[in-house]
Amino acid sequence: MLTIQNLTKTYKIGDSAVVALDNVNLEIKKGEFLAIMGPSGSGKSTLLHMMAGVDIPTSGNVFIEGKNISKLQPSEQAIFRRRHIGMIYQSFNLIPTLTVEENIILPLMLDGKKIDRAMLMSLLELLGLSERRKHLPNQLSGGQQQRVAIGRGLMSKPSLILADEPTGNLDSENTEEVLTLLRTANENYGQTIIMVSHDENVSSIAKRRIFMKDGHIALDKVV
Amino acid sequence: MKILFISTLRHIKKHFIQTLLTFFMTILMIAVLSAIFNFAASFQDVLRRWAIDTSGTYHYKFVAEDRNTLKGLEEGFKKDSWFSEVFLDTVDNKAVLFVTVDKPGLFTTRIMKEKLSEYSLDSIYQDHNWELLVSYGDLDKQNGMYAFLLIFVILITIITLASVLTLGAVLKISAYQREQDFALLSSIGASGSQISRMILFESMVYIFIAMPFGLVFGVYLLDLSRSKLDDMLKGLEKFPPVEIVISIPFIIAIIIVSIVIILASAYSSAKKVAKIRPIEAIGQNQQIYISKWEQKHKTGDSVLSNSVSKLISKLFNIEGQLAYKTHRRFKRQYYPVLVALSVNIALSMALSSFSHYTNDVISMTYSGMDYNIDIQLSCDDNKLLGQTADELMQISDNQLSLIRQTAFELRNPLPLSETGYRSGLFQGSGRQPDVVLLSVDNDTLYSICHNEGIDIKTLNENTGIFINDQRTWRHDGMQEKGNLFHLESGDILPIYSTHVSDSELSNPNDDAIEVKIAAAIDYSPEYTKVEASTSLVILVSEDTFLSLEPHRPFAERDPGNHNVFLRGMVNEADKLEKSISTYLDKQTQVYGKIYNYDEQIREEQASIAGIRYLLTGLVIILLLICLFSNFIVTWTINRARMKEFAIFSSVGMTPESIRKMKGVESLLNSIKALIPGTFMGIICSVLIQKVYLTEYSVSWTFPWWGLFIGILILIFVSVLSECIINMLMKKISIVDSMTLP
Repeated sequence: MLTIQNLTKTYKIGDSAVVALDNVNLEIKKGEFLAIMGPSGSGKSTLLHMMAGVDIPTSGNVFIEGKNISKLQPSEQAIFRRRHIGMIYQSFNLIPTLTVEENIILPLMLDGKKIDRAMLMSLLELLGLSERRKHLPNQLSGGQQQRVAIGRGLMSKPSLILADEPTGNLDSENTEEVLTLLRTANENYGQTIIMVSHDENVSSIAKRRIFMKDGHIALDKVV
Repeated sequence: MKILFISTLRHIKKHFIQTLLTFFMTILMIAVLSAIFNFAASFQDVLRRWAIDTSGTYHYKFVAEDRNTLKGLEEGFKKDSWFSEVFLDTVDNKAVLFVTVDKPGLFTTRIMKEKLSEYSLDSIYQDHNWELLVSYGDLDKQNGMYAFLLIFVILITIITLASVLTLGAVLKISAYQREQDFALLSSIGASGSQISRMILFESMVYIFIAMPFGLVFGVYLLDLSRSKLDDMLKGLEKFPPVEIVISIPFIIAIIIVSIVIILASAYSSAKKVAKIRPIEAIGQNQQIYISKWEQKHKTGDSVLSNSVSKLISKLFNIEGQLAYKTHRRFKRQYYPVLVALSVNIALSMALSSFSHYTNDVISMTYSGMDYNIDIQLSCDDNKLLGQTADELMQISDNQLSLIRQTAFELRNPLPLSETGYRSGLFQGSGRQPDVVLLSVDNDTLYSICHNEGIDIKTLNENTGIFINDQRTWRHDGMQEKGNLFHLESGDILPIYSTHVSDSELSNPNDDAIEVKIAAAIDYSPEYTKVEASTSLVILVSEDTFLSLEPHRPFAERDPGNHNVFLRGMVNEADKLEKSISTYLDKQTQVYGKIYNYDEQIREEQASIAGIRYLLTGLVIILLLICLFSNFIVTWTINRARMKEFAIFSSVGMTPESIRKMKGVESLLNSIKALIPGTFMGIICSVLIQKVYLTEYSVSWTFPWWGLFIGILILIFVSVLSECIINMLMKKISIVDSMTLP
């Protein structure tokens, strides 16, 4: 499903170079639920960004379903993302001018695909947002916004969902709801989920956990 | 409070490009004001020097046959401390009382009128040195400089309005950028007035730093244009050269106007930020209460918006749909863009109208002669006259290189006693005639009557057909094209012309109105083309024409068919004048007169060129202000939306799609700005015309050129926006953008 080969990312800050990822190698199988853990600055978010193709590696390759996304043109990367990857961020990152419904169907709209209204309705039901489908993001609570972001990740049925601290801004009740949704996506729809989190409790739902330290994988553990 | 101002200064410093452009814009704005105000001061100085040189230092003078008549006035004025000098003298055997006012100023003429109402002025002629009074700021309508005042007022109004709106848009953007900061400040206890003072402080920083630069730059621009100003003024009168005068009252006026502009610009933003709610800073994690009305208006889709959305989707696919949704739901963000774009269009149209009316006024003020040398020959012997004319043509031919625009033409004089068709009176003549009598043969007259629906029986020796379709007759009721006009033999024709005032019109026979009547005996459109729209054309029969001919008042009598005019525009008129003069001196039977208008034409042309140069300069500077404002607004909006674009990219929108979406947004903005902009432009154009109408008869025309230039600016701004997006998207990565607040 996803193969990372010798991935390195170095940032230049002033005269000094900071190594965010140091020759990382990783193999993730289809249908896996992987949690990336580690302290702040260990490189976990950078790794996730490389997997999504939103950041360019200094060296190394990221293969998703056999395609080296780090070598694709920005337009090709964008098309690949909307078809194969669902992104969920800590700060939700919804389009403020689009309604709940429009944010959820956005990747499909961009791809020019017909919207399956029945699926959309059942997804909204699942997310508990049926009553809020015509609302704008700023009319929603943080938990609701994160559920919209998850809905956006699920609607196009991507094979890979990348979640960067998805519960970081949520209270315990909303955290539980979000994790349930992710688990549902993984177990019921067979989607591969890679989640970055520094919270042990949150990561505990993943069947495989890797620990990052100073830009490299310190531990890879299957529970 | 100090800490809030420091925060504002840091914001200004942080957004360096935006700040720099705002400074440039403010400097330009003050520079234009400075140039105009200092020109007003310099012009006052020119007027003062000229008035003293030509008329003397008196302000009023009263003339009577004997000194006793003026005694009462002299004694009364001497007792009044308002007058500084009262001096009775004898000039050309007449008693003249010269009066100087102690402190002439804005209302001198009015005060003087009140003072004079106490005296009997029978058999006393009074006059005032109006140029000198104007130079002290007395801008009474009677003083003749009213037109200058009007132009001054129009310019200041245009600049002020444009500056308020464009600077307002920039300050709104600045407030929008800091909205979250303001909300945060509000959440920790800053009051609305403290927050709004931050915006006012920011505007004051701009104006006070830009002020010295703007003042100096304005004077520099004025000095740069000095020769053009000289040309412009010399074309009007024999004014002395312009010297740049820096007047303290005028500098204070510039400072006041600039502060008023910046405060007016900042007012709406300051008022808005004062009402900011703390929830807007921390809103993302809160359950925000949205009223039903707000929900409906923010997300509700009306039938119209659905139809528009479908149409845009069809035309521009998903990018168009997204652009339309963003455009419709994020109105606040687009407000400064719309204001800046609308002002562009309105300003272009206003300036285009201003330029159009100024050109109209130029054509009314200046003669527009197309010849600089005019040779009038007369001789009883037609044959000899023809030979002489031919020989003179030879002289000019020998100096063919001297001929600049038109070759010499042999023009027949206006034949009055016989039908001749080569009448060229109107070609290149100086002042165009006010009324034109065209003699037509009876067949033509009957045919015109038939076409115009006029009963032929009503035509008699005292009637003519009014055919001008540009103007309406103002005396004896309205006359329309095709109506009969009664010509009373022997009377002075009551003529409506731009050279007479409305009051003179109401009493046309009281005093002789200087009317230039031209007449052509043959109705030949080729040669009787009347270019001035002021002229009235009356068709009369040949008999009527001949019966009226002796009564044409003040008209130059056409010299009969024994005259020949030679006219042309030559490079060296003085040289040619000499050659021809030498030739004519040797002639015994042919009498000739040479009129050399070269200097007059050169001065007029230089004056017109000067006016156009200054007008163009003003237009360029004002459009630059607009472009700066647009650049700042576009730059800031696009920067603020980088996170949004990054999110779009992260969910799979290609850079091309983002650019297309932005393009559609620009198109929607342009269309939206076009409507209020054009509307404002038309209002400005009409207002400028109304102001001009108080002095000049200018007709309103739709400022198509202005609209065209305005649309070009819209296209430019769209392209600019595209370039900024490209530049920003290349510079900033998706990851970086998404971490933006």
